[in-house]
Amino acid sequence: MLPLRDLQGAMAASVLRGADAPLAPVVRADGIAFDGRLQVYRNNTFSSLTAALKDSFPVVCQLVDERFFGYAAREYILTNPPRAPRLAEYGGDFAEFLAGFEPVRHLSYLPDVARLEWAINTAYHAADTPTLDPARIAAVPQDRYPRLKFVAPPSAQLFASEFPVDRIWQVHQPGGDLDTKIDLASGGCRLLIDRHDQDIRFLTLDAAGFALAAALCEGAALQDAYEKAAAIDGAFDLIAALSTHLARGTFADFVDATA
Amino acid sequence: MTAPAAARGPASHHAAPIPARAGIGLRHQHYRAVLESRPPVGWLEVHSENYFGGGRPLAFLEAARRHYPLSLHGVGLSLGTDGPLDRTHLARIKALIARLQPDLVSEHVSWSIAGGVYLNDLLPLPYTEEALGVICGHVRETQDFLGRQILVENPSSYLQFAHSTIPEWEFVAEISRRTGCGLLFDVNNVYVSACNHGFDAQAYVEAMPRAAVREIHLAGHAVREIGDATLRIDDHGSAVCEAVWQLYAAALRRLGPVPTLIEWDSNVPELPVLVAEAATADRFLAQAAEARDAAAA
Repeated sequence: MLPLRDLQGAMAASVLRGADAPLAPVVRADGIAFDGRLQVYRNNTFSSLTAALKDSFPVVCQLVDERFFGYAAREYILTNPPRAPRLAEYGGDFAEFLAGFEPVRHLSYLPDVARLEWAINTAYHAADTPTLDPARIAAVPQDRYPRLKFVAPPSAQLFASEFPVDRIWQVHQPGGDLDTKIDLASGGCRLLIDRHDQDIRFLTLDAAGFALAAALCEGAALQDAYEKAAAIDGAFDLIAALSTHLARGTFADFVDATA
Repeated sequence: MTAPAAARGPASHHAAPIPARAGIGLRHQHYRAVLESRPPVGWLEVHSENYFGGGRPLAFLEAARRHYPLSLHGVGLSLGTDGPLDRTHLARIKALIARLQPDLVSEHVSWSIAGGVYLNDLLPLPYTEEALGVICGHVRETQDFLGRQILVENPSSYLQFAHSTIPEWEFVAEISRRTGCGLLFDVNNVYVSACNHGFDAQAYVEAMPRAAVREIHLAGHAVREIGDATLRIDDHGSAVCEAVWQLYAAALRRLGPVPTLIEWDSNVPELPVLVAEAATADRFLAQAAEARDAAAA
């Protein structure tokens, strides 16, 4: 008799790799061959995981069409099956997989679209935090501003691409104009993606603004973050940038590192 | 990553008991429609794993939870795997329970994980003393960890193992007897497996310990031809079929009125279709309640 642990290992190998033969002695045929029965389980796993990937990467799916997406998903599932029973966490390395996937090598922007969709997915499922009330910052003496550190909510993610993937993503939303021609050479994008109330938001940033936001989200003091931005743009307007972040509620909290 | 939202904040809901009425499985397609139309269903059930991260799904669920009693139905714990239970997974279920105060918490008589890979399907166990020992150990561990009873659901299956020695209905009933867990009796699963494997669905109903069955599931299934044979596939992708309604009526005659859930997971229709299915189940439940009261009088 096959011990349970060995049986489960054999069945996983059958589902994932089509290694059905070792199960022939333990599966009753009963009118349908043993491998026909195992095929049902294989179909269930691949079709449900493909559907989960399609939910997380709907724009990638539209860009390559559904049939090709199914093929790519299958190859991805074969090499990167889920390691945890939580589908919301499945697909974190799909962009990396696409970057190395020969049949889409010519679609140089595709892995970045997948990265953008994963960032959106992550923001969607991130825990809620309160939004920092700008009045609390207004109450801090100005001389302490350089040492202030901000706390970004778990949903906040910085995203940069050399391609205009934000516009590609936009035209593939419901109601988007799919006839819009997007010139891939028209420039990249730098975004801060987060969730506010229940809505996913994109804040488009220039190189200096992106450097500031990235440094602040990593927990740098305001002075250090400003220097990173100023190194890119000597005329960087810190007050304007900070006002924008406070007004839109980019941060959850702050710490006065002077104390 | 910080702690999931479910781990924070005080419990804001009472553990409202689930009535012996029909409820519906709440899926993301219907979040808005449920909140806006507040359909006349008795309760809601969700898949626990979809709310582990918090965020927008949990916000919708908390809003819905204010209006309906709730059941948490897990699909990823893999009680039947011969190996350690995932403690991270258990801890997230526990945090979600603390947050949402569900009346019922359930899982499956099946397995989904082997060698560290999650197959995202409910795979069948061989019905042996060894497998019974494994799943009973995991049910006990889960109930001890959560500090409460769970229900386990009878599976649907497409194959039988040659070395099984225990009829499925005895295997399922024995888990409840040994661990004190409740049973989630899935009528469609019984029908699907009975057709696929040629056993008597009515005998399965008769074997269920009355006091242990605290919930019933109903769903649609697909019929697939494989060569000359027919295999029924439990895809939750259509309306409940007539034969399953009849088996449900037989189950209620034996069990009395039991909270009943309409599940629909693929080709998900508009909300009113689910609500109409629930209304049909409610009519069966009303008849069962009348029969019970008549017998008591």
